[in-house]
Amino acid sequence: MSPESPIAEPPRLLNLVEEARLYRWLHRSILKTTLRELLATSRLRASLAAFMSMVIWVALFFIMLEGFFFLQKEAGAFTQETVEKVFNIFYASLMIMLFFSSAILLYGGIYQSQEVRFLMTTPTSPERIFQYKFSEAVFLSGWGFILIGSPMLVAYGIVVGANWYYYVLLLPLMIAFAFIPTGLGAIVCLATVHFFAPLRRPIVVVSALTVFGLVAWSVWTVFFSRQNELLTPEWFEETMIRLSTAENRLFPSWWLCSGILEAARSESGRLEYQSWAQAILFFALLASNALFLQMIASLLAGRILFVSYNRLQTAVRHRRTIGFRWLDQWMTKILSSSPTAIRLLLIKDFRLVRRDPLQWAQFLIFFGLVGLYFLNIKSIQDAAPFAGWVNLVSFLNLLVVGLILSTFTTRFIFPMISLEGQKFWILGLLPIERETILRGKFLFASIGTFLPSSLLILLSDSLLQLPGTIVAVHELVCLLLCAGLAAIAVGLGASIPNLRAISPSKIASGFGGTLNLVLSAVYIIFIVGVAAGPCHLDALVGLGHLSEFFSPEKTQTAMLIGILIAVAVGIWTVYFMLRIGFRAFRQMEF
Amino acid sequence: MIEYHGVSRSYGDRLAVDHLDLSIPAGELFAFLGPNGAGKTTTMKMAVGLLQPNQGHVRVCGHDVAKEPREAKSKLSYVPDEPHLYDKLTGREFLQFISDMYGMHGTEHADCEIERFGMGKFIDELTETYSHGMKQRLVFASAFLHKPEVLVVDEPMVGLDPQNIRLVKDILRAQAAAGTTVFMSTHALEIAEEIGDRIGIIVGGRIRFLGTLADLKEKCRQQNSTLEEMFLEMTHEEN
Ligand SMILES: Nc1ncnc2c1ncn2[C@@H]1O[C@H](COP(=O)(O)OP(=O)(O)OP(=O)(O)O)[C@@H](O)[C@H]1O
Ligand SMILES: [Mg+2]
Repeated sequence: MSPESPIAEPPRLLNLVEEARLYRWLHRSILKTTLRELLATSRLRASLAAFMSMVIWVALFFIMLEGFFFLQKEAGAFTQETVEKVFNIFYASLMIMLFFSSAILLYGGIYQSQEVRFLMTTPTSPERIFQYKFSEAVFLSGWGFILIGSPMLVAYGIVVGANWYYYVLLLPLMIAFAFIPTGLGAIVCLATVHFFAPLRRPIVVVSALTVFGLVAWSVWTVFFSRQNELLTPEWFEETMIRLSTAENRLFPSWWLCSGILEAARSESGRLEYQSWAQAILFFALLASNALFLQMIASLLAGRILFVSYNRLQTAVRHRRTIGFRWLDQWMTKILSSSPTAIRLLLIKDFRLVRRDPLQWAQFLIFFGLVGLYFLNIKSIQDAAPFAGWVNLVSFLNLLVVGLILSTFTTRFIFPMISLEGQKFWILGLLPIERETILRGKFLFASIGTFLPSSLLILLSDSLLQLPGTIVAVHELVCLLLCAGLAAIAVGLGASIPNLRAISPSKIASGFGGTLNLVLSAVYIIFIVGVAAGPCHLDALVGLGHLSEFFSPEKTQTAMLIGILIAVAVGIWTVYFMLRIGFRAFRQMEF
Repeated sequence: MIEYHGVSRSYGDRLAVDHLDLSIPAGELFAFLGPNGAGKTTTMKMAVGLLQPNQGHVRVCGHDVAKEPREAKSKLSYVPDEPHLYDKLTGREFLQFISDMYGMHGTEHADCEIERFGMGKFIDELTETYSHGMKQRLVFASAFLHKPEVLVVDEPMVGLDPQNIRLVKDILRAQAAAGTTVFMSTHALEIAEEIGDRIGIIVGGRIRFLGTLADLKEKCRQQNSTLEEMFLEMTHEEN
């Protein structure tokens, strides 16, 4: 070994351009390797993800397309004004969601990541570290936004017969828009950590919840509570006035909607040139604001990133043992009638998930996004009440909730068994049967998923003012979905464990996780189709649609049979998957 | 060189480092000892810019780490107790990334380190496939890549096999001999004894002993005890 002179070539600080190029290279190399691996080893998973995204896109697209056509043909309410309102509410709500999700994503990406800890010990400038993470956040929240936001726009373009440049301008408009809430979220995230990190965590949590509650309450009072009788002219006027809050000229969502509507406007004669020019004007407005916010955020990061990081790392640690003990006690009370072993396991799992806020926060956001989307559908329905469409929408809502649930069970429940297996000497030495562990997991997963999703379904259905029978059927389907998905995740998790990978996301993205996702998707589509399909057909026929094909008696019988089949299949799936799981788990060697 | 002037750092209301004054000149291998939770990692993190002192300041090669972070960091390398590697980069790509980051183009430096650490066989595989020792070697290689003037190493020997421990010891020694400041924390008395120029023992955030191995041995002789007994006694009082 030959010791070299340590100062042979003095290291040099990179300038901004060189740094940018270097980090772009890093992103590109990682992306390239990931894609190559994905194609080489898990083509199935890649195509499955693509397929699921496509299903969601197409479902949303058809909801919107049908909705617009119905509005145009039957309800006669397809005025420029209505469309403007619907768009503005939708994108204003998406803007709020994007704001929160990017603030959380950046918090995790910057302040909780090993990578940033490493980068901070290199001479990389804080601005660059921020930009690097910011572009990830834009990408992560942006694709969801485009997936959920674009079907409506494409459908609208088709319905109004928009010009070609409408479709060309859609993507740039949406991308420029996505940067704005992300930039705002970044600024708020940096500033919050900087100024509030030294405070005790409960104070921060309580104030955040208060702000969130106030926002939610004002949104609710503005949009959804009303004094006037339903469907009277006064009611309509009141609704319109309230909805116009979303059309504040200072909202970036208004700029986006106006740009879109201008691009879609097809006028005859000489005025036509103005429509695309207007659209481009709004694009310029969005883009310049996006760039401006990004610049502000990165300047701010340059000044406070290191200091805020330091503050967070050295802040008072909340003593975990006391803070949420009431939650655990509450859980213990609820579960007091169940066997001790199961109760203890449930509480342990509950604690683990509870202490992993970055994980469940993402799902909270996803559920929130879906909730907002339900609210938005409600506003369309207000503008043009039409029962048949509402019916279809509530049916597809059920499907969407199911698909989200399946990603949840794949990401959280499926890896649990493997993780438990790695630490099996703890549980294995306890005087409990191995089956009890699985049973505990199954209960945990079904209860944990049923609570939020049944509430979501209830919200959707009550907003849409569906009849009681349909709500009941939906809740039953929801229960079947939760139990079935939980059993699939637990059964497969025990049959195809991964005892090496430590991180749950790695376990979830392996072969077993993929299979879990496929089986879950098949199960969801089957159950929703069989149980809820006939029920909606029945409702449609009851409303006098399609009566030339079906008689009410027939659809009612179909409904009953469908539900019976779904229940039977659900129970069988739970039984079968758990049995497979038990057998595998009993024979597992650790 | 590294200088701590009256440096304190607390986590909430728990004081982790208490009025630390310490100066490590160029070419010295400083071994930092102390029981768990004594404040070793905290002290080192302040030198590499991950934490900032509540009081006092830390200088690296004359640059105040809090005020001129980029200049200070460009002179140093940090090997933490749990280093970070990019799973989806190969070892060679990682070295390339690091050398580009310090404005050094070309691959000679990287090739030279690959050779020195004997990583030729696996350097073109993704780092996620590496064993602990392979990762550690790559981290060291990347730390030496830009010929740092200051090297901060937190418990470098954990999980290495005897050969690699020997390798790391030799490399640290050679670096110090070539004029690099080496600031190393360790729990292994015999390593400090073998390669340390000077030894510092920290207990409860305060330096309890600072001096050469000869000083420490002299103290032992006076008190008629072995090095280990001495260390245990020093670190015991606090608890
Ligand atoms: N992130 C943190 N939050 C709160 N307290 C911390 C944090 N990191 C360290 N501490 C506390 O600061 C003190 C010093 O910790 P430090 O990690 O510097 O010790 P150490 O000497 O490196 O210990 P070890 O030998 O175990 O690595 C300890 O009391 C520890 O509990
Ligand atoms: Mg330490």
